[in-house]
Amino acid sequence: MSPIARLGDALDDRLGFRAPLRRALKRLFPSHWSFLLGEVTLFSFVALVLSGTYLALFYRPSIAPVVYHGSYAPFAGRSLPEAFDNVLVLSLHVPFGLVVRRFHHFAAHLFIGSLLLHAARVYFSGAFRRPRELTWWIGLGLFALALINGYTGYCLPFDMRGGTAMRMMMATLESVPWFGGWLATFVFGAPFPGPHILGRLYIEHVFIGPALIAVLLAAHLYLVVRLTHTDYPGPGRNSRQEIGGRMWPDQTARTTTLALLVFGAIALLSAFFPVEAVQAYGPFQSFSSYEPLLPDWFLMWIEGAYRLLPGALDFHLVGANFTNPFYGAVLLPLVVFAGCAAYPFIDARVYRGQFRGEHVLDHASDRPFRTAFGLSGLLFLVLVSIGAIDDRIAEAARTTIDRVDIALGVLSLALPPVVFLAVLLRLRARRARAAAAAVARPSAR
Amino acid sequence: MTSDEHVVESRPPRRAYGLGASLGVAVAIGSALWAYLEYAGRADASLLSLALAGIFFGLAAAVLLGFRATFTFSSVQGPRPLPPPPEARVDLLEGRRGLVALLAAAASALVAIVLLPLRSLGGWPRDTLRATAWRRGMRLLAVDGVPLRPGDVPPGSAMPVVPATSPGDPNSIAVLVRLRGSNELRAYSRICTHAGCAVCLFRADLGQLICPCHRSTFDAHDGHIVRGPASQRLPRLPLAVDDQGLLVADGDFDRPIGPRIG
Amino acid sequence: MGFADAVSHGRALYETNCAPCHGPSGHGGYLGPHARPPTIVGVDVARLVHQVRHGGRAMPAFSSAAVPDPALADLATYVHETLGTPAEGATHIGPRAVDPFVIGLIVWGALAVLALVLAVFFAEGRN
Repeated sequence: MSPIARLGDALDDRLGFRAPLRRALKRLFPSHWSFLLGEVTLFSFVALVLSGTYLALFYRPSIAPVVYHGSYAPFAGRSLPEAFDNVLVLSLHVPFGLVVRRFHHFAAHLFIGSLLLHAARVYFSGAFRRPRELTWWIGLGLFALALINGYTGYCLPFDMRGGTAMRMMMATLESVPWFGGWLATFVFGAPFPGPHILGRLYIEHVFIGPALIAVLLAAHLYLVVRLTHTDYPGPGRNSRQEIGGRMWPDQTARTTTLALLVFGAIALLSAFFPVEAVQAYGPFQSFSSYEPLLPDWFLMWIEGAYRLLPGALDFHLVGANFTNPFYGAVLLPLVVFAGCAAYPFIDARVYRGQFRGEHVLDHASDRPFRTAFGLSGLLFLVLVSIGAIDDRIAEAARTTIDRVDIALGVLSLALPPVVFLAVLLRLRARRARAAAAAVARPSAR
Repeated sequence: MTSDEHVVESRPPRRAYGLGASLGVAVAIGSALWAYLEYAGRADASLLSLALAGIFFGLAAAVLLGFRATFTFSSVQGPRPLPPPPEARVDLLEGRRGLVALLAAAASALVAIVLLPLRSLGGWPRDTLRATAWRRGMRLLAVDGVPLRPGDVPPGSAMPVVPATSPGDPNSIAVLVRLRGSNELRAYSRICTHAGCAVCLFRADLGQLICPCHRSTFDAHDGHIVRGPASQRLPRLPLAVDDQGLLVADGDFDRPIGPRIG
Repeated sequence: MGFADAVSHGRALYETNCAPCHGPSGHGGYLGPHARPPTIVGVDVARLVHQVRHGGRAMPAFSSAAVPDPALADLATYVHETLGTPAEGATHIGPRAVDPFVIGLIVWGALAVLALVLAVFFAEGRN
């Protein structure tokens, strides 16, 4: 008997893995290409953890001043916050440092981007329907955690951009009616910036966030396996039968290849696009700020809300102030997430009795309301995001920022309902035509 | 394969895949060598990343084509391994509702106590959130620590100033402005009343202070809002001159600094 | 004080006084339709000194209290020699260069296009 077989026997004796492994290796995986989007998200997360661990070894979350002793002339001999100094040294003087930093940055962007695409696929194909509502909610939780971690991530270098982002975080916390002051003091432990906040953001980013993501991810994957993977309708595919490749060798090969492709794509992005050049932004200084400071693309919708909502909407009521930061950074995300969380129930109500089966997906064109609602919702968020660059648009179009804000504000409110109606009516007309054609033909479905 | 499964489509291994897999391995090894050369040489981050990408893509090709060259890939139709139907309800605490109430009360006591260590994170008082160091008679310093005279501020200029006793206090940062035309000297809080960024842009021709973050614009004559999203005017710092001719504050800001607390 | 210190001092001054309007890499900014801080990469020393001391139409003036003469010399050295150059090693940050919003446009645009393609794809009813 070969040594490997003997090792396998010894392990099986203790772990009892052979029987469940045999069963697992026989499982079938439906093989539509869009089902791989969730795996792209998963492997981006793995890339994040690996690259992030390396970065954490070089970083200390402290704003205490240290003197920079490196060779980069613009900062020679200057007193810098320690966190900024660490990231500067890592980017400029550690041989692989900037590569890993870029890798981490683009892994994060790919993580959130593929998560969005995966969520869109799930939404438009109706995979969130009963019995998968829990999976959908866990996915929403993962999305929220991803956004939070992405945000705390670019606060950590404590450069101008990170520090300003933290200042706005404090303003957002303070803006919560009645609880704002308490909440801000609770999180920051002191007036801004205070000695504690960077350490707390670091613990969130490095420990609390990834741990919660890992737990939710495990629950998400468990549910996907237990409830079996959905598939589009077709011959041999329905709620009781599935068609796909086996775990071994088909899916193993595909998943491993996808993991490597994801890492390769992140490396490719790192090669061609720059990341936040902390040496250009400089350390955070509370008495200054710069013009083109913008959050990363996945938070532009909140920045756009800040800029497009007029200050005239602020009011005072029963001992609390309702201000712009509250509307843009608390109310809008709450509404968006609550709407997404509630959607499975809305969908079930709209499409009562029209489903082909619990494990069968829909084509987007067969579900006019769902498709129209989803497209118009995405359009709204994209239009609000464009509000984040209203000053660039004003400069390019040679007009005032006020005009751009009004135009974008009107567009954000008027265009989504128009698109909703247009898509809804068109898809309904198409469905009616298809139904009429099916009735006219004697061959049944 | 069980009896209720059958193969729908089969893709047997092909020689061409084996060649492709070898090519993938060659690309991976070549990229690894290139990565090492880059690392040992100029260590340009872009080229290192490109080499890294080469390694990953080469390996990906090697894995996929290697598997395809060795195994038959097949599409199999079979029954869905659905979970078993839900079991009948099992009520572990049947008839023992009193125990449930007792445990709930004990647990809520524990939860209440857990809030205490959390409180140590930040405490309650909100007054410190907006406390500044400015008092009557406190000198204005430039950012590099030099005290200022009225003559140091030419018309059409704006400069950040800090209080003499606490130059590092972020809540106290102010901006000293001398307007063109009227030649008046003004001082305002530099913290934007919208979301707390520093209002550090100044237009000398219009006498406007602009916050770069979301473009709130304040008129430097009296701090009122020209455009939002801020809704509160900039707090103003009253100025005076002491007996040595240096600029001092004549009290604290005339309203709380920064964004309104909820 | 050697050159390295002048550059470092100039850099600190630049961040405090100039970067808010002219951008961290000196590529200019936008304050309004008639107030566009221009790019100042490599601007010559005499012109910089004059502009800083006298201001412009919309640009404020900086007195010797705000920027003393030796400091101004360092600032001019920094702007003329190092700002925005490869020696600084910075990738461009500013409204006229690749920065987060451009990447955001690319990413959002790509996602939007992909979403449209997916929608069309699904609508055709193919698997």
